[in-house]
Amino acid sequence: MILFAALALAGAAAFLLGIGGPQSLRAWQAYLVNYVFWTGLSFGAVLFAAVLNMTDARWGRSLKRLAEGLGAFLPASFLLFWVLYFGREEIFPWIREPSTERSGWLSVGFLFARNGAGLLLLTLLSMTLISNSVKADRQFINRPPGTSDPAGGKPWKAQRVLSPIIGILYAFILSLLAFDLIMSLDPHWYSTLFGAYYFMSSFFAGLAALVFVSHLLRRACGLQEYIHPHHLHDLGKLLFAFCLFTGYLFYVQFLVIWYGNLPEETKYIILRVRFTPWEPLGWTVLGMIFILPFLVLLNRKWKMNPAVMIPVSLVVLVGMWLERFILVAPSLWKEKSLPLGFMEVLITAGFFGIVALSLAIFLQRAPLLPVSDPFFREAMQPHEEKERP
Amino acid sequence: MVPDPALLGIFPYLDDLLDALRKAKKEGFKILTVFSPIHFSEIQEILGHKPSTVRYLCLAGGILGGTSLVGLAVYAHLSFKLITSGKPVLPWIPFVIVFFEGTVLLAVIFAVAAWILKGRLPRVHLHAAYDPRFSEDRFGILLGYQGEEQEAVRRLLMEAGAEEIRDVAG
Repeated sequence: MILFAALALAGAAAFLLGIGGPQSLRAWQAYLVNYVFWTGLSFGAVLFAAVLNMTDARWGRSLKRLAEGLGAFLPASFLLFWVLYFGREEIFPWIREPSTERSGWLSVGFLFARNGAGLLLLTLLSMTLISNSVKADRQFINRPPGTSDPAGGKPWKAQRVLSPIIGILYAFILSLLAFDLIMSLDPHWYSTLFGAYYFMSSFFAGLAALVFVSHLLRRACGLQEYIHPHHLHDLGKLLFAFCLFTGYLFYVQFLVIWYGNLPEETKYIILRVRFTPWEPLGWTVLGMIFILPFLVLLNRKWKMNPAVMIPVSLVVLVGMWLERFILVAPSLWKEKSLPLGFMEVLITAGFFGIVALSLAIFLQRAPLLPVSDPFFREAMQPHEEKERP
Repeated sequence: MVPDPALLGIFPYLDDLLDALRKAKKEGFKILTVFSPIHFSEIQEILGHKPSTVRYLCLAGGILGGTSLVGLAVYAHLSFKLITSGKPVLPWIPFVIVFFEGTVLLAVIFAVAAWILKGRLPRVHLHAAYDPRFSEDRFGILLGYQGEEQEAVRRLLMEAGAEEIRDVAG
């Protein structure tokens, strides 16, 4: 935990030095990229827990607490959103060059009010879902001996009510975030599917983070009895499915723009796949978030092997970070050099430190498994341990 | 026709069947076949069979389908060089769709064909040990035996919870 706190402080120091220096745009750019990446990942992880509740799924219940833990970053994320206000002149080009037809939507006050309200609502609902889940488990653990099983009590019912609301609001609010914080950086370009692309790829990133954390903590925390190889297999299959879906959503936008060949649409893509310094990065991102995970996740045994899944999930996460970078940076950075250096690494390490610290503190205070969840206990009925099929 | 003399145990519960399978495997008895109304991966895992080769035929079909349909599209484009909106003669971007569709089409066709061939379908004659209840709510395990083993096999099936044990002569 000390390491995570140190990383957070280092990131904060690098950011503050960056915005005070000659290349303040790079610091703000890195901040925005990290903000949209980590916030999307966190909401995506909470969505996994909500989806388990919505579908009455049994298979992934032992992973639910880890997914909720990744959502522990959300209150910090809400506070970090407001820091963007101080960099608005550097980040949003439509402040320096207002767009007449979009001036009603693209105004500073309205943007921060609507996004702030949306993030506040989704963060509060997510934290309420998580706190009800933990509260139910604490009540279950601390119940006096001989009392009846409190499963199905108010906290459980609250989770079942909140989960579909979170599912619907996730789509709306993350779409809004994508349109305002990423798409508006190039105010004359638009893609109707952009919002959906952002929230589905955030879910993909959340799943990759969950794969990473599950494989890492399964042995470290002695959870082998509760997280079986077939859980990891199912999670790997889900990751594969969303790798395909994210690639599909990207391709759908790409194909339509390519076929239409309208200059106002194509310039966004051409800048990122044909021009220096973005072209190599664009192809690298394609390889990291689609080609490599597609090929690796075809194999059944590899999906259950931490020696494979930990590196693959890391590659996906780094690839998704670079994907957010290549969405944001080319709209802002006009130099020939690639704005990816020590400052970006430190600021990213700072955000990682905050996320990891939030996760570590949460998992120290909450039960590692959703012991009061009736579907978890049903799924944990005597089960033949299958080490390696 | 069952090649060896065998005993068929009929079970009402999956857990009893799995228990019998584990014991039979441990004792080294010859498990000729298992009957079940639906697929259970636990049965496959106990029997320890190698993964089916259907998956490799499916992959081969996918590769063949993808490459052949892209080949057809390339041939068509080169035969009729219709330049539309300045697009290249061989544009790889829309060919992704052709590749995907061809892959899925032939992968599915090959998988179905492999499944039919490897399952030796259509089956005109049912297995000698088949009981119609295996398509409803009963499980069966057919254990081959030699000579003195018959009693041991019968005892194993009874202790595992078989509700009926039938001799299926060779």
